[in-house]
Amino acid sequence: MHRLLPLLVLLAGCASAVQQTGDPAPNFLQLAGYVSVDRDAGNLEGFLRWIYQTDDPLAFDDPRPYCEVWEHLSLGVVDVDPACGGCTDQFEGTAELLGEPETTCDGVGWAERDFTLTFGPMELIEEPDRTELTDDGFTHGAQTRWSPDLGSSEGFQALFAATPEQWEPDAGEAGSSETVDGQYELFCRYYWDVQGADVP
Amino acid sequence: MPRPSLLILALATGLLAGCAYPPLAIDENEPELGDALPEREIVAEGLLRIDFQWRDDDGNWHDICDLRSDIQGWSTHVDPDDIGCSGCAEAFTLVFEANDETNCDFVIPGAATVALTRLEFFPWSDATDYMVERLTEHVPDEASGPAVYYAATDWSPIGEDEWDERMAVHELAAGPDDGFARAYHLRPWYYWNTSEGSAFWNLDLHLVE
Repeated sequence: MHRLLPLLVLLAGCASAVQQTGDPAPNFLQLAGYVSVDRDAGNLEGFLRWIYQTDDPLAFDDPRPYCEVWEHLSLGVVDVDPACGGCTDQFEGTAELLGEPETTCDGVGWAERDFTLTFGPMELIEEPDRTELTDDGFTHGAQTRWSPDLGSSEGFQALFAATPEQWEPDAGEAGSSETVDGQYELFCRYYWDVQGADVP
Repeated sequence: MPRPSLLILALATGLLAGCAYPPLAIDENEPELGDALPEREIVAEGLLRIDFQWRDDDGNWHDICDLRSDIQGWSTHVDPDDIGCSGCAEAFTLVFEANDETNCDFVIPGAATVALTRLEFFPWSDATDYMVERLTEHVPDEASGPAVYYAATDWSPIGEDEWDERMAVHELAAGPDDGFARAYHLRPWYYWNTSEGSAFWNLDLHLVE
């Protein structure tokens, strides 16, 4: 095995050095989010970030970015839907498109839309993803009734895992595993190959 | 390509929403793209049927309404311990959206996970005679024969639920839709009493592989 290691390192190095070819295009899509939760005030504010990339993010360490779309999330606390099993907090409101300079994709004219986000324990996420994410410091599962591929649905999907991160220093502390209050980064558990799709 | 300035973003957001969020520099917030998990591929489509009924004092059932939901689903992993079976199941996460055939004035949200499992793994020693009949003899109108699998699920018409073996899985008599390799009819041996009435449910599932 010791003799194999240098070879493996070399191979890995070769793999990461593969030339990225092809014209820039919105071939792959990832989502990210930044939210700040104030349970007492009854609100959740934040952003949903659509990241379009030319290269497959799993095939390249540094996929070429193409453009981004940002939406502002303004949600209020509501009762947890009983069908969202295990969810502890639910927020409903709107996602509203931000224009330039945040949104860099051309010709995006999305209308304001309804948006639901729930928080709950990591058990909302199935294994083995849960263990992997918990080991990386994620503290909450976050569910939506929407995704880019399925659109709106009645069912809740564990689209995101949340990790405490103080992304806005003047608006409270980073969240924790003890409470939903605080600031979080939302990591989307999926990415999408959108080659050939009608995208910005 | 110009990077969005989060400072300007914060100002714009403040103007838009009356709040001020000056997030940290974008480099510090850059998602770790290399950590992305594999994309989700839709490999299952189908139809969920829930018939709501009520029973009068004489034991006769009466229709309340029918709820029909289109299904989309993808392969998922479940903990074998959860479903009481070691490495024998293929599992799918299913989400629902009510379609035009629905005549109920309410919806039942929720995402289901179903695990299709070979009958040899069924806990026969715990089964009632009714379950055995449902799994070995009964042939629903939608099916081409007796059950070929059983299914465990974490969903019922009252929402997400504890994992339980509760459905017989038959091959669908109509066969798979175009573009799908196989199709099953899943029928529980229970019905559920909900706030909207007694819910009798079943689903058809078309799988690409």
